[in-house]
Formats: sequence, C-alpha cells, structure tokens
Amino acid sequence: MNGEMGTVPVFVKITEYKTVTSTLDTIRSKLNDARNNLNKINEIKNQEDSELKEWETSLEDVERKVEEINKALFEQPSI
Amino acid sequence: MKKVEEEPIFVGIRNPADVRRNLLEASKGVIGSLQKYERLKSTRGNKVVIVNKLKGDIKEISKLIYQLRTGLPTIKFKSEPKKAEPKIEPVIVKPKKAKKKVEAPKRHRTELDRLETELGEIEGKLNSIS
Repeated sequence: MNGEMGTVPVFVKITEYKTVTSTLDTIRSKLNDARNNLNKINEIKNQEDSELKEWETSLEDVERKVEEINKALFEQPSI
Repeated sequence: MKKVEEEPIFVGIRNPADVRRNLLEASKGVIGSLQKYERLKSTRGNKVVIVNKLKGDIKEISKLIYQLRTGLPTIKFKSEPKKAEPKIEPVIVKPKKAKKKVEAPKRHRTELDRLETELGEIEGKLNSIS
C-alpha cells in the first residue's frame, strides 16, 4: 500500500504558492552564505596551521641558540 | 634568613661575540614568537566570528525549512494493514507491588537533547513514508 502511494503521482494544493517559492529562494541563498562561510573557516584554519608551524620553527630556532650558548659557556674544553 | 653567597666561578669563553650574537638572536626569536602568538590570537578571533555567522546561517536555514514544511500540506500515508496475530492465551500474573518511581519530568536539558528529539521525530516521519 505504501509502495503504491509512493509511485502514484499526487497533486497537492499549495495555498501560499508564492510564499513557498520565496522561502525556497531564501533557503538557497542562505545555503550559499553558509557555504561561503564554511570556505572562509577552512581558509582561516589553514592560515592558523601555517602560523602554528611558523611558531614551532621560531621556537626550535630559540632552542638551538640557547643550546649553543650553553655549549659555549659550560661544555667547551678548558682554555 | 641570610642568603648563602656562592663563590664566583670564572668561565672562559672562546668566542664571546658568538655567545652575544646567540643571546641577542634568542631574544629576537622569543619576541618573534610573542608576535606570532598575537597573530594567532587574532586569526582565532576571526574564526570564532565566522563560525558564529555559520551557526546563525544554519539556524536560519532550519527555521526556513520548518516554515516550508508548514507551507506545504501534510499527507498522511495509509499504513499497511496489520497481519492477524495468533491468539495468545492470556497469562495471569499476580501483580507485584511496584515500587513507586518518581520520574523526573522530561526536560530538554541541552540543545543537543532537543536536536536529538527533533531528529527522532523526523526519522519517525521518514519511516512512515517508506
């Protein structure tokens, strides 16, 4: 019974046809906005990742420098 | 309490210019790191703003879809006729003294609960179609 209902065309009465089409248009437009915002978030996420990577490199650099200072002060053979 | 003074130790430095350069470069690096932190903070702030915008968009889409659903007529599909179930002799069970359970009133504790309930309702409607 259910299957039949699914295949047979049904005519429905839409009392506020214009409102329904306008709502559909707004939904489409909002979906577009959401898509754009999602793309922006992705871009920012990539930017964030690259900034974190830069941060890591900078810290590694400082670590190296401090290590060199340590070596120069305490790990060199006596003069 | 008096602080015990350490005896000074003299350490020889072969390349004092290098040590000084390394120290200055390390300071430069640390300041650079702080600058990067500020940039990251600002980027994260921008992300929060856009995530909130996206949240608003999705909420509005949800409202509009509800509006669309109410704008369209509801069609009730006839459910399949139930097959005659075999008669089962009723078994009389002596009722046990049921412990009185005080159930807490159902409340939508969180937004997640509310969404789950809504999802359940929609799934129920979908099942009634297929």
